[in-house]
Amino acid sequence: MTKAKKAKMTPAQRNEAVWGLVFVAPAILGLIILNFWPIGNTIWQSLHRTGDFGLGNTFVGLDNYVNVCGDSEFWQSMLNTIKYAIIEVPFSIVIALILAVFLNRKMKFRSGYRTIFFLPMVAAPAAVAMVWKWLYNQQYGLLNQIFDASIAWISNPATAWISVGIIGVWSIIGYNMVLFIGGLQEIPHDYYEAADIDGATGIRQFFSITVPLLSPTTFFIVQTRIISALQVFDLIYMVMDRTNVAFSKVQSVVMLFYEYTFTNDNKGYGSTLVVMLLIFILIITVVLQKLEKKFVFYN
Amino acid sequence: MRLKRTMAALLTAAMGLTMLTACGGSGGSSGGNSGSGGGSGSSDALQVTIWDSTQLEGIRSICNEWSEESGVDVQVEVVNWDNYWTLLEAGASGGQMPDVFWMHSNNSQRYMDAELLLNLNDYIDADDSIDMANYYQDIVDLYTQDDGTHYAIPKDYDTIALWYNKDMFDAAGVEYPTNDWTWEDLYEAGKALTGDGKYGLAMDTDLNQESYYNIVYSYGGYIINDEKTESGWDDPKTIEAMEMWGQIVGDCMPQQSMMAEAGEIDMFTSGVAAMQLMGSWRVAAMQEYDLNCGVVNIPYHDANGNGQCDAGERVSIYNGLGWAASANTSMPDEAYSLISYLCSEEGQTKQAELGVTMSAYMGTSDAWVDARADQWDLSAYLNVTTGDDLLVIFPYSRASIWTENAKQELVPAFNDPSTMADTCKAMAVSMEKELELEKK
Repeated sequence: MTKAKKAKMTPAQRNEAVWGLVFVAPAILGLIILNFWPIGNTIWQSLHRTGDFGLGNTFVGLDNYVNVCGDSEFWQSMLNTIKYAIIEVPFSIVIALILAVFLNRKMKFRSGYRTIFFLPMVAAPAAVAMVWKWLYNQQYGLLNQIFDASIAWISNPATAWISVGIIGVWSIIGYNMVLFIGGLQEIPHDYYEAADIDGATGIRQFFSITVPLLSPTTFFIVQTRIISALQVFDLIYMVMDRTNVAFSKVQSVVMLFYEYTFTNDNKGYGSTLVVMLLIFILIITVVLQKLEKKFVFYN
Repeated sequence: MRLKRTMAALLTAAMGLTMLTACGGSGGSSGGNSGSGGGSGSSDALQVTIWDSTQLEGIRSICNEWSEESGVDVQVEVVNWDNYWTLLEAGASGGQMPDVFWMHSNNSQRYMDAELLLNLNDYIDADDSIDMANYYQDIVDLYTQDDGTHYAIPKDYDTIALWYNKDMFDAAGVEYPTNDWTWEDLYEAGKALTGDGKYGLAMDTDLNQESYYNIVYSYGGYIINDEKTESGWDDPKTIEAMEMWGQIVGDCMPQQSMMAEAGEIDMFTSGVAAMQLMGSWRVAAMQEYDLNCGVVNIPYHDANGNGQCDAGERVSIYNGLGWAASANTSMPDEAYSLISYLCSEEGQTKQAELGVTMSAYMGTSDAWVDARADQWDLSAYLNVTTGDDLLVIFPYSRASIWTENAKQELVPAFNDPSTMADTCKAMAVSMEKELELEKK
């Protein structure tokens, strides 16, 4: 049908198409000016050795990329970012799903609980990070006071990434939960009733009905969470001081980008770092799209 | 129907236009210093931006006095150190810099090279109250191009002294520090004070100017050579000094992880650390705390072993800010007039009397010591500027990225001081790489 349309457009259809374009023009213009133009500019800068204050850029071809690929700091921060995503994405999704299932039933104070779990999402990320930083503090922190210990939560290079990941999980659970509740309400009740008659247990129902029918929502959350976890910046930036012993084992790619671009004023190298991250995220997205066809069940 | 369509088309066009003009506005000014109406042309108040909130009150009151004389309003704004440079950098590429602001040795060369600062030569020549010979030459040089163009006038200078908490020394039964301490004395006392969750001192890797730079130069080492081409981190004397500092770190300080998390000034003011090497710029902030403190000279290194402090054995790093104006300010005459007022003998004396900071105008800083005399004896800060003691200008180069990198590179050595020598040698390599990049 689309082929036929393409071959021949009636004047009415053409008119409609023109007006359609006019009406999406603001959105398209916005995307071009605010998204595509900066992306193009970033790629352009990544091919240059940038001068002070954006003056006197010299073209260096792929030099920046060669340097980034040979930079152990970049690979370390890439690894750190992936490790952070490995903590944040699965845990925040599993916990949020369980919470959503419980909070989807009829119970007292249901909206109260929902609000409480959603609250971290309302708080400013920087404020959340500051509070956690003090909870984790080795000398004065509440956690060490409660356990009467002296654990270096965020200063032990071997475990600091887990501590930071926990903050990420905590702050995103509410958001995922709300999405899951929305997905759960789409599932028709008939299935559960039929399963009840067949004598299926609650756990069996969860895995045989809820999980497969929720897979479109789950996939959406997985995809968006992975992308934003790979772009993590503010949380780690606020929690980790540059003189922290574990800093190099936690620093994310975007933090490295910030350091090069704004602290060292090396915008070319900084741009290259984010372009590399962009490529990585693109690859991940393509893989996820392939997996979607295999694992996601659309009604 | 037709009317509706026309309306819709008009509305869409209007939306598109607003978006375009909004972007056009920022796009136009990103042309940098080409625009004639750059700076903060819209308001007629002079915009002054600084980064130290403890100095705000004093600076503001001097600016107000100038306002009364000149009839021009001044707005003083504080932006913290990190954001200050981001703001200035963005202003420099977007054409919206404040009119009058502070310059620092870390960045001055780049700003001068890009000619973003107002050339002050003609103004200074025509001004009787400013003579560059009245300021420390090293500080004047920081803000002067090789061709002799002055881009800023020195505002202040700072030196380092040793603060100690008398109550903690009394409790531990250790004798108070004196004006004649060596680094070894500091080490012994620090060790005696450490234990039971208390420490001799706490100084994180990012306190270069107040801590290890001083000991390096007092041992005869250096950080960067005069030509700004070579690193001194692998100099044997530098390494000797850093190993001594490593001993102090290892035996008198909390673990590095603790210092990075808690903040060393907090540790001193909360009675966890008994001593602290502090720059004179921190004195204003110390007023907030009710601490029983003393201040003595920075320790020296007895290189010839004769038991007394000889020429060059006591070193304090010093640095000084400059007052600069934006090259494309809409009010260059007013901007210079304010700078001249702030940097004249009168303005500098006022700055010292108000206890803001020591003043760059030579001989006016006694007033600063007097201003605080009822609380602390701050003469230690001026002692190092006289006699045989050496003042060394804060090591810098064109971009000084290695300064920031060193704060991170030293962390493993502070964590495990036995690796200090190797760390220093590795730092020399990475610093020279940065210096090489700067030249391009």
